[in-house]
Amino acid sequence: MEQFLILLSVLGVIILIYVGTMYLNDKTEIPEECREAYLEAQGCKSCSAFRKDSSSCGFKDALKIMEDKQ
Amino acid sequence: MEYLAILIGAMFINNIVLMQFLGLCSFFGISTKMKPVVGMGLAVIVVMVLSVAITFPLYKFVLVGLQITYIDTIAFILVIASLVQLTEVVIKRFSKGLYKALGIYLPLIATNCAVLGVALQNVGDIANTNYLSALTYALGSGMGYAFIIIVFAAIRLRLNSANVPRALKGMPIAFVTAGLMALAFMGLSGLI
Repeated sequence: MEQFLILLSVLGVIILIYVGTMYLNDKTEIPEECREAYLEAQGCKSCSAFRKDSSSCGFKDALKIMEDKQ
Repeated sequence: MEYLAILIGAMFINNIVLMQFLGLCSFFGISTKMKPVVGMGLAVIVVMVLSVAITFPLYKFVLVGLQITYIDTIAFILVIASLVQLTEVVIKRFSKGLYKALGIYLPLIATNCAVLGVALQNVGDIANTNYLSALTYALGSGMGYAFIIIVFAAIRLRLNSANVPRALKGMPIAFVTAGLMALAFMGLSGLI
């Protein structure tokens, strides 16, 4: 029981740190001159695995491709 | 001398991409242009060193001490993701130039298995690994990733203007090229 509580508290602390940093990152605005470069880097079109005939490289598109193949 | 051997070994002999097949998604995904590749390479070096700087003592003093080493993978994933977010915040606030060069690639690195792989490898033999050698290994692995992805991008740029058979255009020729590069790097296995 004690071991389980230790495990839960360690994981809880790490998850809290993660949520905290995520919140902090969301609150911090991207500098205006970097916004375009940021969106370009994060966009699916920057990836060479991107297919022109699909709207994105998301999960739904992957499922659609699999369905089409079947 | 020992640290130099670790550095060269991590960079060329046990290259994280070509020998261990980690970080392949970004390796193939963004290696079509030179500019993002340099930024991504630099960002991977920074994040790899920082993540090992945190995960190594976390494992040694917290997880081993509390006998919960079996949660190392999930703990490291969360720590690396937090670290990436924190690094992004700091770079966003204090250096716009640096943010433009490598900060925009940081979110992509949070899910890069090469970073997690290096962190886990360093704690695999914790009894015989010290902090400095772990950091050197992380630096070497990051530099190896950056070196390989830059070389690969340069080759792919040249392939764009080469007369490649239609069936091999795009990803197929990229896979063939990566395979040939991996074979070439296997020749370095007896270097140290």
